[in-house]
Amino acid sequence: MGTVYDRRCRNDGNVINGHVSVIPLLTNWMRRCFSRNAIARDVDDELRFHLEKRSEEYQRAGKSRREANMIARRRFGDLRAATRACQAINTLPQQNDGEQSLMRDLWQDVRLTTRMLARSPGFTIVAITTLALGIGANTAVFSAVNSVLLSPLPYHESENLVRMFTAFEEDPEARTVVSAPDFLDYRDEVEGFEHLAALYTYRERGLDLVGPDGPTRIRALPVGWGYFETYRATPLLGRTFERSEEREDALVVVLSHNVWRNVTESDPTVVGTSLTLDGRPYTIIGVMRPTFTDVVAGETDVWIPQDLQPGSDNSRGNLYLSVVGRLAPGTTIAQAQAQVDAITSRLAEEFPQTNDWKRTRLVPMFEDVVRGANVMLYVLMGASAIVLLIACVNVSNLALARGVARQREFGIRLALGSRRGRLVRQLLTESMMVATIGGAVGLAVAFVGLQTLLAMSPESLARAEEVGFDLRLLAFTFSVTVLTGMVFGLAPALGLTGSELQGSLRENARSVSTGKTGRQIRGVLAAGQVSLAVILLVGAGILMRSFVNLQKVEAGFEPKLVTTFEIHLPDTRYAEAESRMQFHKTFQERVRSIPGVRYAGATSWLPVNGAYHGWGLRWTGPEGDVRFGIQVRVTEGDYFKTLGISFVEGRSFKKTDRIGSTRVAILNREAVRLAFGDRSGLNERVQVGGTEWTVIGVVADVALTAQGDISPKIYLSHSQFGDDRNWALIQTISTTTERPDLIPLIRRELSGIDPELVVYRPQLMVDVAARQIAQQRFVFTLMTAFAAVALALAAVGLYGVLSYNVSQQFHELGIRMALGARAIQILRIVARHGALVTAIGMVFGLVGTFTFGRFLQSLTFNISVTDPITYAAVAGVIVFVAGLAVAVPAWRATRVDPINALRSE
Amino acid sequence: MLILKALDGHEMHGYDIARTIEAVTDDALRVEEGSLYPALHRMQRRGWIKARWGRSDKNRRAKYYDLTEDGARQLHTESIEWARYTTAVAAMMGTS
Repeated sequence: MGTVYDRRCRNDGNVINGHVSVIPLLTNWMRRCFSRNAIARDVDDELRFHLEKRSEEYQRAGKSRREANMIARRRFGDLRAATRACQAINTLPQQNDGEQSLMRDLWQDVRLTTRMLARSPGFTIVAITTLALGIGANTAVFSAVNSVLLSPLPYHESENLVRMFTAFEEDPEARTVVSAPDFLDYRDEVEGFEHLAALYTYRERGLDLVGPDGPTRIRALPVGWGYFETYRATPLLGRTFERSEEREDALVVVLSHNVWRNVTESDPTVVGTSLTLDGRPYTIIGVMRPTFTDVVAGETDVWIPQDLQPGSDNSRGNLYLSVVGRLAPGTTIAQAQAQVDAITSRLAEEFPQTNDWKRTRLVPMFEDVVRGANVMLYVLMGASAIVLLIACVNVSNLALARGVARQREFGIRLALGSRRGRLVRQLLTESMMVATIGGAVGLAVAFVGLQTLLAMSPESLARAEEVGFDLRLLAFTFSVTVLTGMVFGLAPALGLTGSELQGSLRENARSVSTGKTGRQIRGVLAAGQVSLAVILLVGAGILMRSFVNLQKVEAGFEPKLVTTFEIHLPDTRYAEAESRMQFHKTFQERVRSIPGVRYAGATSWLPVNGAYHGWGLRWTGPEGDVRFGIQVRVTEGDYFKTLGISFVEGRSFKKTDRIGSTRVAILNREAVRLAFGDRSGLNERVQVGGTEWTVIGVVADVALTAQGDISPKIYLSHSQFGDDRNWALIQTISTTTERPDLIPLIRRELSGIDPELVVYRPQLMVDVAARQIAQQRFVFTLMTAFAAVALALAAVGLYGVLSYNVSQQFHELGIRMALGARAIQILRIVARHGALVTAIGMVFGLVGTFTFGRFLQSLTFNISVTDPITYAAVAGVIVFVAGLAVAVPAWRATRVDPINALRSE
Repeated sequence: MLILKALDGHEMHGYDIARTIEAVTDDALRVEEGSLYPALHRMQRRGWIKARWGRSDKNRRAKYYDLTEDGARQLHTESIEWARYTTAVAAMMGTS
């Protein structure tokens, strides 16, 4: 026993050293300076007295004076340390000095902690790395959440911004675009708007700009009067559009800062000069500031006026405008909605044919912009929070295990009069410091993580361009860090307060955790980790299965070996329908002559890209009229062949199907089913877009969206319908082998026909399809990464708990072995505990998944959030990984040498 | 606890406390003397013991410690705890 006592005392010296350094506040320091010398003298006197007495004792026993002094000194131990310790104790202010004492204790704790952490670098590095990963992941995801969901839109008084949508009687939640005449009525008559502005909806609108490096296509957004004013965006130079300019023939343009810089070389006198777009001379009237972005329309190069004059596109039945508005000061959205509703009812009475089924609704712009992103981001947020929680539990378990080694230290401090609260605080300071360093490293991790996140993030992530670091983010990281420190510091601290003084002084005292309670705490923590990992695994599993389902979607066409790009024919040089038709024919002919090209075709809108040009179909059959909405696609050339869309019956378009000949159309199966039921639709006549079409063929359905939605479609021939408008056709070229060199060859052919035309947005058809499921891929990838980290951490946690238990049961296992227990029995003892922990964790994990799984619902596709296959697979993975985590400690347990185990007691 | 016990009823200086503990426990618990004084000072601050400077047998300046009422109470509590603990250990040892 004696040796232990000695060791304890030496430790004691160390601990007390920690209290030596004091940074008193200045005033106190002054005061104490006077008394410090006196204290030092007293302590010296007292200790010298002791040494003298001891020396006398030895001298009496016959030692020489020198020898006696030496023995006395040796027996005393570290004289200097004791002196300093005593001085320190007396110099310290009273405990209840309040704030100052708190400061001092804190400083002490920090110093002590630094030393502790430096002394066990293994623990420190593992703990900091684990926490840095957890905090980093959370910070990165939160920065996206912060910018997208929590920050207001980047406009002045953005809370007053609204969007106006058309909804329908049967679908009041719809958010459809608005017709120009309706828009004008609302703009003129609703008083609750400070501004209400229209902008062109389709993103595909572009203009060709012929510069010194040849022609390029730039994004042009037609907008109405009041558009910039709605956003409170003022021009850097010049002015914005006027009401009188909302017409087709107003050739004025506002440049983005980007175009002003790159095309006009930041010329300050650019206003009033001319810019040729699509061959037409536009007068530059203004330049916008670089800070202006439109969250509704996205990146734009130039703005041109939106034609709002009656006629052409502007009928009440043609819905195509996006509408943004700013509420007048003091007007609530409900008041504005009421005013809008009054006009909606009036229009319904006035124009029953077009308006009696329409509703018009206002939605706060913020809500509309973040709508698609928020479920995804909150799910990722939850997932990263779970990873952090698991990390905390791991570090907590680590700290508990470390408590074993420190039990004696704390026992001594308690014995020497440290209050328990003080020790708890010491523990918390330690965990805080680890968490703080973890947080700092985590911030760096987050920075890298955020770049990756943004690089991976789908185009559909709203406001991705705004994502960045700010104060709120730092505050978040800080709180997460503090919370983390509290969470993982708490368990060891609780363990400490439960420990008994004598317990820790017993020679064989191992730890608080040796006791049943300690083991239970660690078991519960490990089970908790398992259950959290189960939740993440199930989430990742379900997202993975939905992603696989998405990829398996029967699209109805073959995207491989197909290259697509757009060609826009400027109205100036291709005003006549005949010239446009001729262009496409010539162009496709030349493309077909390129070696390796199989087919060349074109369409007005590609499959899986959603709805576009939705018109109405009417068929007058024997039982009266059949009407339904139908997607219109204008095609040219071998469109069906390039994409491998098969014919069910009938024929494709022929050269003889031209303007003037019988107007012919091809329907898809869905349209035939809706119009004619089981009967063949061949040779029937249907009304679409005010024209009668004779059905000459029926083709297989192709997916309208990446989710595989099917909708009725009618295909028309550009050679017959090219006079309706200047259709922007998307070319589809199929090749016999992969041809990365195809686009340059096509460019050469194109410039041979018209050197000012642009091969716009070339891409492979497989990428077109993949882009549509980019968001699912993104969420699924991140979830899988989080789940993998969680699984690894949980396995490490389980392993840690079990191997710790084995080391604690060393003695017991040794006795059992000595009494003849076979390896398999030993194995069973250890495995049983592991199995119990795993089973409990799994049960709670599954319960948790059932509870939280529904949040995933909107992100899944063709799979239930309670998919039994996923659950079974996750259970299998957990059992497998837990098995590994159990196997190693169990195997080690069977290797216990009974002699050693017993002797070590 | 041992220190408190040693001071119970006797005013002593540190050296005597060390000697008392050695003598009573048959040197089994050899207090490393370096740690005795910090412990004394700490207890003094906590009000369990009080100290005064006096003159020793050879008229040297010596610091004498004595139990305060608080200290007596503390000793009492700790004695009970200790007794409970030793009984438990003894019972355990008796059965094995």
